[in-house]
Amino acid sequence: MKMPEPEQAILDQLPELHRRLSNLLGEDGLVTTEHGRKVFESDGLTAYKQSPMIVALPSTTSQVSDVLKICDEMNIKVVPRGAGTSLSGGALPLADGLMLGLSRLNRILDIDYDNRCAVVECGVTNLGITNAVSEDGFYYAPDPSSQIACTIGGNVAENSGGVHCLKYGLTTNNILGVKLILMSGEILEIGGKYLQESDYDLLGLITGSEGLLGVVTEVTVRILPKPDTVHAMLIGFGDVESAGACVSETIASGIIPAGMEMMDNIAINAAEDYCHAGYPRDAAAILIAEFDGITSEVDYFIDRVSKIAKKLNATSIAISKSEEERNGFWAGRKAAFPAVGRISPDYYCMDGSIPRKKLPEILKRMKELSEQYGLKVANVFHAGDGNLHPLILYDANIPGELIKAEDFGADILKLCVQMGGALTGEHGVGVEKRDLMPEMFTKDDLNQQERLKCAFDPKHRLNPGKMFPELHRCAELGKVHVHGGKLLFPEIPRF
Amino acid sequence: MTENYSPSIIKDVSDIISDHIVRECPLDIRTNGSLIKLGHPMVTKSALSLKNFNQITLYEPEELVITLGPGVNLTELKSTLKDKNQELRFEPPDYGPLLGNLAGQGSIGGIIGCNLSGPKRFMAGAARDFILGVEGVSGYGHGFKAGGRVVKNVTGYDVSKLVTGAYGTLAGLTSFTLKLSPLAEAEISIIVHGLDNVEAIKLMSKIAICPFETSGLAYVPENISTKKSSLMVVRIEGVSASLKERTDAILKIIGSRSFEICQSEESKIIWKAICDVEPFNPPTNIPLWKISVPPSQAADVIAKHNPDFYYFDWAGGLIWMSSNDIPKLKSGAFWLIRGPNKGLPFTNQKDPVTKALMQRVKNSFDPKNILNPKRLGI
Repeated sequence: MKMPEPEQAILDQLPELHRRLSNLLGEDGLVTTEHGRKVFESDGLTAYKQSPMIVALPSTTSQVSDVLKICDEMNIKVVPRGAGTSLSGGALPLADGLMLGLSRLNRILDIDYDNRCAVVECGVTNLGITNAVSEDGFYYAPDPSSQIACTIGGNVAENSGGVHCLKYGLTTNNILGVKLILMSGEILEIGGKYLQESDYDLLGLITGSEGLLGVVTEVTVRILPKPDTVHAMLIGFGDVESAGACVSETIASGIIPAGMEMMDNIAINAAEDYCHAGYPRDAAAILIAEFDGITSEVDYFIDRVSKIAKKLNATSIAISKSEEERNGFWAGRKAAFPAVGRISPDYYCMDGSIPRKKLPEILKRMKELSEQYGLKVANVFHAGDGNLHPLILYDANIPGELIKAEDFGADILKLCVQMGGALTGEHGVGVEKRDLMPEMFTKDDLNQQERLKCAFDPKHRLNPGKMFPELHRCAELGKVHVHGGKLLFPEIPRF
Repeated sequence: MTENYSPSIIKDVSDIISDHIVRECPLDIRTNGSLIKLGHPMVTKSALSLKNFNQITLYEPEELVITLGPGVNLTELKSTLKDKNQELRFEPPDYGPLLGNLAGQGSIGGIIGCNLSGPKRFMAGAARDFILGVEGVSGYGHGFKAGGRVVKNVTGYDVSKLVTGAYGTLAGLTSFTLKLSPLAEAEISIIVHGLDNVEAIKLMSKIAICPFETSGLAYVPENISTKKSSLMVVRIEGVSASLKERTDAILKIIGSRSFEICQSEESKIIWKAICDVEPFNPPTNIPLWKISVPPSQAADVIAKHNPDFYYFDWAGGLIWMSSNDIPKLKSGAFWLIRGPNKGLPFTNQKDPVTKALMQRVKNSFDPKNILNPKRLGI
């Protein structure tokens, strides 16, 4: 993985940049020491590290705008960062870049039950939103596993999902508006407390744009009433094919669970060793299916899924009878990553996405690849929506093993694309999958995306080196090449 | 010379657009043209219809996914999905008669191009929330694709959403992949009689924030109601086993107000009328506005404009209003759906920064301004 070469012209400007930012934010709003900058050297993808040139910590939208304006004038690269929980290196700093830390914009500005929304600053944590409205019986639906730490600004940048997005959608389906600051410092209000905007869908475009188009400082989120009843099922299977079939048949029969997760035997046992969740250790795979809504519907769905599971020879079926028991079912799943961390010095978490029915096939192919590479893989899936999280186990202290794990991961993602899926279901492209983009997109597809980048940030100063395998100059991308002179198309039907 | 093209392969779309780029000759991009009156008038000498991209190329009911061309007729599509107990959850409307055309003629292309959604929008999302991927040809004459066919996909920018609702100003779309939903097993509606605007908005809000997942909340004033009183309508859908529990819970909120319950068939007729904006048929000369507002401001908008005819959908988040005035909103967006489009704006005015950005986005797809120029004012 190669990042853009540091530009000496930018490094030379550091003293002047420091002076201007200090005037704006005070020294308290900057991190300049080697020791201090090191804190920001990595995000959730810890395999890659790089200290930023300087860190700015603005506290207001207006300060964010001013920081960007200064950087734009001085041609300084900027990497925005929320809580730094990205799993794809989206917030990996640049040696010649300013890191824009947004954690101080952490106020909840407005809670508006009449309009079923809340307006929050970008540094508010995902769970912080739910906590703010929970007493009144509301919650914010997207629930990435990092929700205790990750910020809503980061969620918008990555279009974060979580286990409940099967029923409730991703971030993009749960926000109504943002305040967006362009690299030029210009401030845009997109959307608001209403459902539909009459502009181009800039909100849809910004969501999941990985900090390459602008910096979001405020978000209007939809809040939902908490469901009346929630129950979970824990179902064990003797083979992974049957577990996969249970997922497909459930969805095909018209039942959309709130979440439907799958773990394979390695993940089950790692979780059991870690937190004794009560999972069947001998199962080849377990499913955790959660249903929420009104009692009669939840009961009905659980009954239907039990019948499907029995037909597929489930080896165990448990239904939660209390909140405590439901949380117990989830405990092992939620602890799956640290649990796997205990059985291997390092692991590399992948995030491919496939059509649901391809689950058994990709599991088989991954097993073959595991043998080929000599690396074990534990599987945790958002099975209901076909989003895989294979955890490749490796030891970074063994020379060459990280590269082997990366190659194994790349092969899994290529398989996902071949099966009609996607390189990334919810973690983002970042630096991690940047070089694999041509697996999924042609040059024309990527050029069109890069032209959009030019519409927002023509000098490529905002989070460069992420998402796109090559950077092209906007002037080159904007040239129109057509084969002219052919007229009239007599063979094409008229209407 | 006027030329109208209706190709059926992407290469021809690409060649036609490329040729018009060379000649700097704008093209009217449409499917079958039934929604072409939406937007500012365009001065184009040629039209490119994508109506011949009219095949369902992939339908996997068990995966809840469909890939199809813009020319697929909406009525036929709904019927195909219904056969498998599925639907487009955003409830695509038929604006045919509203715009002076026949009912049932519209295609999925117009729905996606204009991002049109029906009464379920407030709880289920808009057309743009169900789009998983697109293929099309930009104003560079290049074919491109974005997104894919799986639900979870954050690979690259979400260009699919951007081109949805762009009214053909960014690309000619030749294929969409959409997320489907299971059809609800049963539905009923509760009608509450005699509320005024303020009471109706309050009650709709109260119901919308309770956890019983209603799929329609609308209010029709007395003068356009079919029942000699104003109607606030609540739609309840779900598995049959859940309908009674849901209904009882909603009736508790409704309390002592006068109500009636409409069973499935009647409920479907009511919601089709609300979805397809039937209260505003047949067309009149008074401009018809579609207005998206924070629900708590809907009654104020009506008080300010005092229109003769209006109704609320989306739990108060959508106003349909016929008025000679341009809507004045504290917050929100509007579209001129019908009326003299000379002298009246199609949508609310944008601030200069947004307008400039929209123009740059347009240029990034269509630098020579070939595709539906000026339809959205840029």
